[in-house]
Amino acid sequence: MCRKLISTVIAILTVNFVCSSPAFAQKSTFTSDDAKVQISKLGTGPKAVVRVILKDKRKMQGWLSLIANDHFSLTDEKTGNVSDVKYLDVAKVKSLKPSRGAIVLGGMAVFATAAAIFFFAGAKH
Amino acid sequence: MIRKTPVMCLFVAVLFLTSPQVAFAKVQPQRADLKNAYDIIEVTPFQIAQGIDLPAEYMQSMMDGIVKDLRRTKKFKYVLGPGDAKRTDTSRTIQLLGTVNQYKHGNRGKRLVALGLAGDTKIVAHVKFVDKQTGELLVEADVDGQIYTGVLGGSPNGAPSGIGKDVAKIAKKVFF
Repeated sequence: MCRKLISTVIAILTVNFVCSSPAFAQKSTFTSDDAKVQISKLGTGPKAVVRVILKDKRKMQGWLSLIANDHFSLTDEKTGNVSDVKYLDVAKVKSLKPSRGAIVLGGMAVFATAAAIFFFAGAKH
Repeated sequence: MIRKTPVMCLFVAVLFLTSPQVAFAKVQPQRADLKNAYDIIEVTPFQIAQGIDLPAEYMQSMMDGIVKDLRRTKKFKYVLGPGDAKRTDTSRTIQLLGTVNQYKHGNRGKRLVALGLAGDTKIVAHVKFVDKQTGELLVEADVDGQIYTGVLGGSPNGAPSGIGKDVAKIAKKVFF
C-alpha cells in the first residue's frame, strides 16, 4: 500500500516537473521592448528597487543604476556591486517601490493603531 | 534492498525537483571594475531643466552640500568643486553631472499646521557619474532632497542638502 502510494507520488511529481517547463515557455510573452518600457518608467536611483527574473530563471534584485539602449544595470543594495542585464534576457520585472496607496494605507494603519491605544488607555483610567 | 528502493526513488525525485531552485540561486556576473577604480571626483555645476525656477541660493547651497558630503565620506583622494582648479590627469577621475528636474518650494506654515502632510519642499535631480577619460556613463540616479517637517515646520534651506547626502551615499556604495 505504502509502496503504491510512494510510486504514485513520484509519478505525479515527475509529470508535474516535466509539464512545468512548457507551461513556463507558453506564459513568457514578455518581450525585450516590454522590459525596456517598464524599466524606463521606473527611473533610476536607490528608490527604484526592482526584482528581475531572467529567462534562464535566475532572480536578481537591486536598484536601477543605469538605463542604456540594450541593457540596464542593477546595483545590489547591500554590497553596491553593479551587474549589467540585457533587456533580451529579462522574463519579468517587478517594482519593489511601495506605491503611494500603500504608503497612505500604512500611515492610516499606524494612525488608527495609535488612536486605538490612546482611547483604550484612556478608557482604563 | 527491495524496501529501500521506493525511498531511494523518492530521494532522487526530490533531488531532481529541487535542482531548478539551485539554478535560480546562481549569481549574475558582476562589474568589478567600478570598485576602487577611481580616486578623484570632479563635481560640475548642475543644469536646471526648462521651466524650473530654482533660486540661486538653493543651487549654491546644493553644490556646496554635494562637495561637502563627498569629502565627508573620506573615500576620494580629491573632491573637486565647481570653483576648484581642474587636474590635467584625467585617469581615475569621475565627473559628476546633474540636472535639476523638479523643484517645489512648499510652505512652512502649511507644514506646521498639517504636521508634514502638506507644504513639503522638494528638489529632485538626475545625477550621472561619468568616467572622465572615456566618457562612459558609470551610474545614474534620481536623487532628492525633501523637507516634510521640523522645528516650526522645518526650514526649506535643508532641502538642497538632501541631494548631497544621496550623492555621497551612492558614490560610497558603488565605487568603494
